[in-house]
Amino acid sequence: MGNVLSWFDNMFQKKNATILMVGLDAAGKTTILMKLKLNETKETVPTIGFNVESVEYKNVKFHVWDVGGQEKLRQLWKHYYEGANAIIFVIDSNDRDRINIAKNELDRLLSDPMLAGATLLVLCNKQDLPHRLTPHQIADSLQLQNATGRKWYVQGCCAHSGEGLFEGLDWLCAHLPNSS
Amino acid sequence: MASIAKQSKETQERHKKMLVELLKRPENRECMDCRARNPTWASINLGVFVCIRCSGLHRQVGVHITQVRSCTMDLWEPSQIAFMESMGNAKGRAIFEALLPPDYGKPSESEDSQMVLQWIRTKYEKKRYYNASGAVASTATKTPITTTTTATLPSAATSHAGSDGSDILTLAKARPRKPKANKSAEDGACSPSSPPPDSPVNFTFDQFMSPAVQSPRGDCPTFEGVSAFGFIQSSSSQDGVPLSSEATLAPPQPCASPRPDSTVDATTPAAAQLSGFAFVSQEAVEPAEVAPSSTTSAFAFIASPAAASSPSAAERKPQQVFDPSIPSLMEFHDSSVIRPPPLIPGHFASPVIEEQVRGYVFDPFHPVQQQPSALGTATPSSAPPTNVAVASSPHHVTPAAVAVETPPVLPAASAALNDPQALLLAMQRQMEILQQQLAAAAVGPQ
Repeated sequence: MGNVLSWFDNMFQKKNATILMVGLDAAGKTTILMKLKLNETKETVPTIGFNVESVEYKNVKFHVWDVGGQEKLRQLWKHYYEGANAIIFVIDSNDRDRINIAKNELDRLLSDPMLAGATLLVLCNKQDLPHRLTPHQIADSLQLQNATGRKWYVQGCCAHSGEGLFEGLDWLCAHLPNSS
Repeated sequence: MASIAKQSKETQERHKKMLVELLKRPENRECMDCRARNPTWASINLGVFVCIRCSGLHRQVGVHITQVRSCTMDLWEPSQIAFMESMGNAKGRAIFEALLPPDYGKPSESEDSQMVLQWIRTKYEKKRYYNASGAVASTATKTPITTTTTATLPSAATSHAGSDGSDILTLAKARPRKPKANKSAEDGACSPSSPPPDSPVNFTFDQFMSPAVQSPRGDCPTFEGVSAFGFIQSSSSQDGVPLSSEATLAPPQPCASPRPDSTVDATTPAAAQLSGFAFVSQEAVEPAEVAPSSTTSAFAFIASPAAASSPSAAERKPQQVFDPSIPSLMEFHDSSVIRPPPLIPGHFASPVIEEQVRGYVFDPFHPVQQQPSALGTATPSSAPPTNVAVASSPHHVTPAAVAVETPPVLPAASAALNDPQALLLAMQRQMEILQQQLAAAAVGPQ
C-alpha cells in the first residue's frame, strides 16, 4: 500500500532539476540531448559554447546544460557548476586512449566544492561500436569507488538508438538531491 | 597525455602558430571531404584537415576510424603536429582517393550531410579508394572487405536478389551515381533513399554493421536486434491472421502503427522503434480512453489500440490477444523465464539499499555480466519473484493481472532482445503510466 501511496504522491509532485552534462569532445553529449529532447538522431557539429534544453521525464523537469568538451572549452565548465543538482558525465566508450583524460577531468569536476552535493550519472556512450569498453571497465578506470559520499551510477548507452538513456534518467529521477 | 595539460603557454602558442602555418598551405585551404574553404578541424590519425560540418560527421564514424581535433580549441602534442605536417590534404587525397574514378562526382560544400557521411565512410572506413603504396595492395585490401560484407549481410544480399558478386557490383555502381542524381534533383530529399527498394536495409547496415565487419566479434547488438525483430514480426503476422481480418473492418486510423498486423510494415528496426514510441504518444493523447474500458487490459491496449475506437472489434479482441496459445506473447514470457530480470532502477529506490551501496554499474548490452550486481543488490525488492511467477504460468494470466504484473516482465524481455529495447522501454513506460492510473483508481475509493 505504501508503494501505491508513493505513486499517488509522485503523480502530483513536479520536481525541477538542473543537470550539467559534460564530457570530453566527441563523447556524444549533444546527440544525447537531441535524442532526449526530440527523440531524433541528428548529425551534430562540435559544440562551441553550450546547448540547453528542458526535458520532462516522469515527474521531473530536467534543465540540461550541454557544454562543449574541447580542451579549451573544458576550462569554462566551472561557470556552469553553480546550481547543478546532478552531473551527467558522458564518455565515449570506444575511445580507449582517452579514458585517462576523462578520468582526470572527472576528478577535477568532483573535487569542486560547488558540486559537492550533486549526484553523478556516468553515461558510457557508443556501446554499439566494436572496440567499446564495458561500463564495468569504465567504472574501474574512473575509480569511482573512491567517490565516497556521492551517489553515482554508471550506465551503458547508445545515443543513436536511445538504449540506456532513459534507464539513466530513471535513476536520476530517483536519486536527485532533496533540495531540488 | 597528462603532459598536454602541463604545456606551458609558450608551447601552446608555438603549436598554434605551427598549425596556422599548416592551414595556410594551399592544399589545406579546402576541406578534405566537402571542399569547403578554410577548414579549422583535423583528423589527427588520418592526417587531413576538414571543415566543422565534416568534423561532426567524422566524429559520428567513431574514434577507431578517425579522431577529430580542433586546430584552435584543442591542445596538440608535437608528434601530432609533425604527423599533420607530413600528411596534409594533398597526400591524404593521394592515399584515400587513389582508386577514385576520374569522373567521380565528389560531394561539395552544399551537399546533403548524409551524402557526405556516406562518402566519408566509404573513403576512410571501407577504404574503397585507398591505396597507400601500389595497385597490388589495393586489390588485397579490397577483397577481404567484399567477402566479409557478403558474409555478414545475408539479408541485404537476398534483398538485392542477386549473387554475392552482383551484390557488390550493384553497390559499387550505385555509389558514383548518387551524387550526380542528387545534383540533378537538388532537393536533398532523395539523399538516403536513392535506391528505393533496399535502401533502409543498406542504410542500417552501412551505419551499424561496418564496425562489425572490421572486428572479428561480429556480435553487433543491432544485428541481433534486426533478427529478433524479424522473428517477432513473422510470428505476429502469422498469428495475427484472425486479427488482421478484423482490423480491416475497423476504420483506418491516422496513427495506427501499434496494431500487431501493422508491425509487418515496420521492416526496419528504425521504423519499429518509431512505432514503439508511437505507443507512448498515443497513450499520452488518449488516456481517457483507457481508464473507462477497464476490461481491456494494458496489453490489449498496446497490441490493438484500434479496438478502442472500433466498438465491433473491441469486445472480441482482448480475449484473442490474451489467448495463451499466441506465441508472440509467450515469447516475452519465455525470455523472462530464461533470463533473470535485470536491474530496474525504479525498483532500486528503497532507502535501505541506497545506504548500503552508493553506486551501481549497469550494462544493458551484457545481460549476463550485469546479473551478479543487479540481482545481488536488487533481491530485497519484491518485483522479480512475482515476475517469475507470472512468467511461469502464463495460462492463468488474467488481463487485470497482466496490467499489474507486466512491468517487471518487460525489462527482462528487453534484456533478451538487445536492439528492440527502446521499443520495450516505451512499453514499460506506458505500463508505469497505467500503473499509476490503476493506483489512483485504487486509492480513490478509500
